[in-house]
Amino acid sequence: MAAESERVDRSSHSMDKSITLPPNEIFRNLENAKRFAIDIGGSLTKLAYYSTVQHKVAKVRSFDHTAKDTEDDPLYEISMQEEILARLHFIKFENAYIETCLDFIKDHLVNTDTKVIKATGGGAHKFKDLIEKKLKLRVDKEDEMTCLIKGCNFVLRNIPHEAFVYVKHADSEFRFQNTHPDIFPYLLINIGSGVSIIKVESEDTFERVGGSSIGGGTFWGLGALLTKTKRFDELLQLASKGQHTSVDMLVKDIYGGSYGSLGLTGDLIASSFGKSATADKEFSKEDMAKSLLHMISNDIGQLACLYARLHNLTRVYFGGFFIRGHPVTMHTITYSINFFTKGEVQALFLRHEGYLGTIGAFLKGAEEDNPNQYSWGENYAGSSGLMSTSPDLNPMQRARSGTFDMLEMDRLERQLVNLPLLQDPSSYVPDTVDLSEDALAREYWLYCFEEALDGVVKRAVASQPDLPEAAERAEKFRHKYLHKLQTLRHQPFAYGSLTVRSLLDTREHCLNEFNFPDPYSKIKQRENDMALKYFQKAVKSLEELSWEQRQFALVRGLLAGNVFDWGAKAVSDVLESDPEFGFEQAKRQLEERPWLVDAYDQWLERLKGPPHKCALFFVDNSGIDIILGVFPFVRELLCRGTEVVLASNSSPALNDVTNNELQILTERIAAMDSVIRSAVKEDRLTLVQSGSSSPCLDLSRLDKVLAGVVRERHTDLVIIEGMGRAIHTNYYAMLSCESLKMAVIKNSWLADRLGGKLFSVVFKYEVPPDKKHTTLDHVPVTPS
Amino acid sequence: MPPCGAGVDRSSHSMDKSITLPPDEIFRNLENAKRFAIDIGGSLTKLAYYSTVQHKVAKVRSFDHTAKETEGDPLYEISMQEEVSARLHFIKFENAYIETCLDFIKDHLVNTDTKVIKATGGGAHKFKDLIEKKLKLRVDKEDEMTCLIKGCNFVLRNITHEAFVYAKHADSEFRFQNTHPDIFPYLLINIGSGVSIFKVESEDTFERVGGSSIGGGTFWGLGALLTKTKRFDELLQLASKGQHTNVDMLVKDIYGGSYGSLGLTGDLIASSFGKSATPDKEFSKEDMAKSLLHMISNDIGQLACLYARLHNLTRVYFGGFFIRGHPVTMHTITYSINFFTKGEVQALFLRHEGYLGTIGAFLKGAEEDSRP
Repeated sequence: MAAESERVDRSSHSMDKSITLPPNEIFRNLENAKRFAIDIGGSLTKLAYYSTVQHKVAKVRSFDHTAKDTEDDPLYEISMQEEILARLHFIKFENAYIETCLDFIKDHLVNTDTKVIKATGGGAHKFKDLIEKKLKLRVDKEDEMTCLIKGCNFVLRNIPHEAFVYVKHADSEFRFQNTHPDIFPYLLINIGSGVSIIKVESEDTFERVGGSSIGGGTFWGLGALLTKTKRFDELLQLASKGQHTSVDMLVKDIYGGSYGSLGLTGDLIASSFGKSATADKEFSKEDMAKSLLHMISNDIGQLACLYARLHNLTRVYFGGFFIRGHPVTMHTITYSINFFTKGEVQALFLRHEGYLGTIGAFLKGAEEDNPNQYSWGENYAGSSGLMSTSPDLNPMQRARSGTFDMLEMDRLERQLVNLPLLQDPSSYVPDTVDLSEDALAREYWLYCFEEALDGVVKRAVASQPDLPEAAERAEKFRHKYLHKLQTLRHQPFAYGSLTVRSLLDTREHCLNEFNFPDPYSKIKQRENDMALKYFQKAVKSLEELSWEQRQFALVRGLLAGNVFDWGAKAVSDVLESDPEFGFEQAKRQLEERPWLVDAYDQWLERLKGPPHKCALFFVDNSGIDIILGVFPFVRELLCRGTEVVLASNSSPALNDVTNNELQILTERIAAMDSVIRSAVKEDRLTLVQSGSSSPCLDLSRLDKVLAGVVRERHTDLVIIEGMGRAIHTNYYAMLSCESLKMAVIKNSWLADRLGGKLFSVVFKYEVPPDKKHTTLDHVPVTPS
Repeated sequence: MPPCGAGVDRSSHSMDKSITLPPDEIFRNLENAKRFAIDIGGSLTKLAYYSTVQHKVAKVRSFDHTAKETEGDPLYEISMQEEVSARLHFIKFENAYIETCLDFIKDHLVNTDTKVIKATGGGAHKFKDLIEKKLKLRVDKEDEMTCLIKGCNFVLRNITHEAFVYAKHADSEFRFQNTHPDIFPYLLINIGSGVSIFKVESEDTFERVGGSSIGGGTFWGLGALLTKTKRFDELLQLASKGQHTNVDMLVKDIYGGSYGSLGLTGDLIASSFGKSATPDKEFSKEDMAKSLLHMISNDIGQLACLYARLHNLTRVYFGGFFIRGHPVTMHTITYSINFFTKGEVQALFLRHEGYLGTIGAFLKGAEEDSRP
């Protein structure tokens, strides 16, 4: 008799048959698919498969320079190679399409030796025979709750901005939460037909601590009886237009006002549907639906809050078809939780909540592959984003096809972890500006990325002169990215908070999608070759300076080098129109001191003290930046006795120097320069991958090896260079050691925002409060 | 928007006028009545007064046996005497009779020097003018919850076998509890239109720790909309004849049996009204009423159990018009509490639950009188 819960919805409403799914757009890479999992709910089917994707990657290979050193030979050769990537595909579609979809899968499933499909969800047994007949795969049922929790752990761990708080009246309705380094313990309230309340304590320990029979099925069932409206979404539509006060009895209806001595305000609902008991009048469908929604949401909210208090948990996630992105429901649940916990507990929702079951079922089947040993990244190119199926929010998508939704996750080569030097990993936010909250900034950047698209397409085509279909692919890329920008204009929250970083990353994902792995490879090569020729000259002229002059020249050189950035529009214009734009010219272009943010004097004072133990340097661009800016600076650090760890991207993004390229460059420089040579030999100069392939930097997702090196070497200085890494991201990042953030602002809008102008300089040197006294001790005391 | 729980019921259904109260049987000893208190709910009025009763008592008196000792003399003599004792009267009647009753009281109220009547309940302000006009007493309103708790403490302390456990299928449905020497602390779940949950720690310390908007008013309101039946009692009648399994989705409807790994049996309700979402069929009034009753009782049961655990309380009393002696609701609440607490907490009901408010209001008045 009592309550239970399950996460299954079911409906038999007829679909609009005129809308058809575009199956080849949805079921991508099916040819090599293996390991299938399916979660069949009452109305939605979620399919998961694992496949390998062949990708073109640009590889660099050093020539043998010992044999003959010809001036005109390039430093390294670039070749395009095929690489196999592992990717997880998740597709959600309405049950009405299940047969069509199974047929499509059968026809395209060629190279698989899969014999089994993992299945979960209430509908799994209903469609078992159909699946077995169509796909010739054995259906292997998995426990629903286990799958749900497994899936939840997976998304919380692997997808940044997975969880969000819903705030109806805020500028941005979605407040995305940072990934907590430790996701446990938490409470999961799954609202399907009924409600299940699950306490999750670790990967394998969870317990259903409670539940209720008043859930989504009750809203649907009672709603259908009261309003004669059979469709769930229509009921929610009705509710969003209704007034609950005409049906509910409020405190003021009984007491004429508030009930002060008990602290109950007059507007509180004393009794849900209390007015319909005796009033001889008709109630509108809208009002009844609204009252019902409040009744159920409040009840679930109160139960959630009581179980959270009883088990001492503060993180409470809500999922299930009752929630599934519906703003009205999220609002009422949030309101109720706030009311009952007086703000102590926040209602958290999940972007990929609908996929939890199928992700879990998939993981169960793939345990031999140890998917939890890897880090995974959401592929923005292949994922639909939050609310793609909400007709209110995305009329475009709705008209285009039936309601379907996709999520793709790439298995990352490296396992990603927090930078151990973050002061507080749980409060670290990489991005400086949240564009979903800042409408003006959003407008500008969306416009900016759209404007820059022509140039990106042009460069992509130019990077593959030997491939005739490159132009066609580049057009496909243009179309895809433009569509993403349009989606983000409507749903800035589609992939979590909208940021310059997410816009840049989405572009990289789309370029990769169409086999443009490294459009800047040739430009980078040319610039690296050119810059190397000046290296020794630059070092020599620096050595002629006095110590103090040299320190300043090194910083100016580094900043000037950073002006060379094809990623920034203002610079790429100049570079393309005037290839002679030189290093010296860049230096002249720099803002004179005092800079926009100027902590140079403090830095200089610090340099007069003892050397740092080890500096971690996140580098930026290829060419002049890395060779004439960064290396001399690094060289000086090494001379001071500071070990240096150079962290560069694992794979290409814009003209940023990649780890592979940097290895070749370092070899070459070592051959020319004895300081660098001995440092490399003695392991005082180390190169590591950042684990990233973004022009920005998320210090909470870095290569595990990097984290290990940082710890081993007792790193006490972090240097972050460039607009993407030091301004768009990490500008406010608090580190537990000294840090230097340097960038030249190469975007006039951003310069304006920060109160500066084009080519303004940011030179931020920070010392954490608890380290201040130690560094001050070393500052030489000068008589005043 | 969120729930609160007010312990008030109200109804305007017309009473059967052919039934008349026999007032002189009910309002006894009115001549000497003093200290009135009244609790007007939505459908019932509860009146309390204190009066002195002249009683014949048999007295025995010993003879003086030291003077002379005659064998045939009795040991003591017996005489009948008049004695005055104090008595509290509580009367409950339907609101429809309120005017008749007030008239009767006015006519028989001779020897009183009372000027004030304590009043509580949601209907107190509605009938204030009528009472003041009829009885020429000033209506003095008392806080409803305070009265309720005061009354509850009073009956728990003074009436043997006040509380009972309801066991539907037992030989005796009512299992009366012995009076505990220490009645505190306890949880009181008052189910009126909404639900209020009070933690009572001592005579004067109590706190409304929670509440819910899903209460008696919800059963009545949703029941009326679903079944077109406007009377509360008729709704309960319907519910007692219905089958909830036709309307509710059970665990076995989804999983084909129990959900073993979570310890959920197949007969558990997975989703209240879950079956009415999609099939295009008519559901009987009885079945819907039963499903509704289970939904509400289970919900209240679960909340009661959670608040009891959160505050470490094992004694949980239920009151309010949703309960008021209705076997069906007592049974569903009891079932739900047993389910959620696995028998650790028992649902306790009170014999005089309907009088709590008026007893409390009366005691408030008495306390004020005895103050110097």
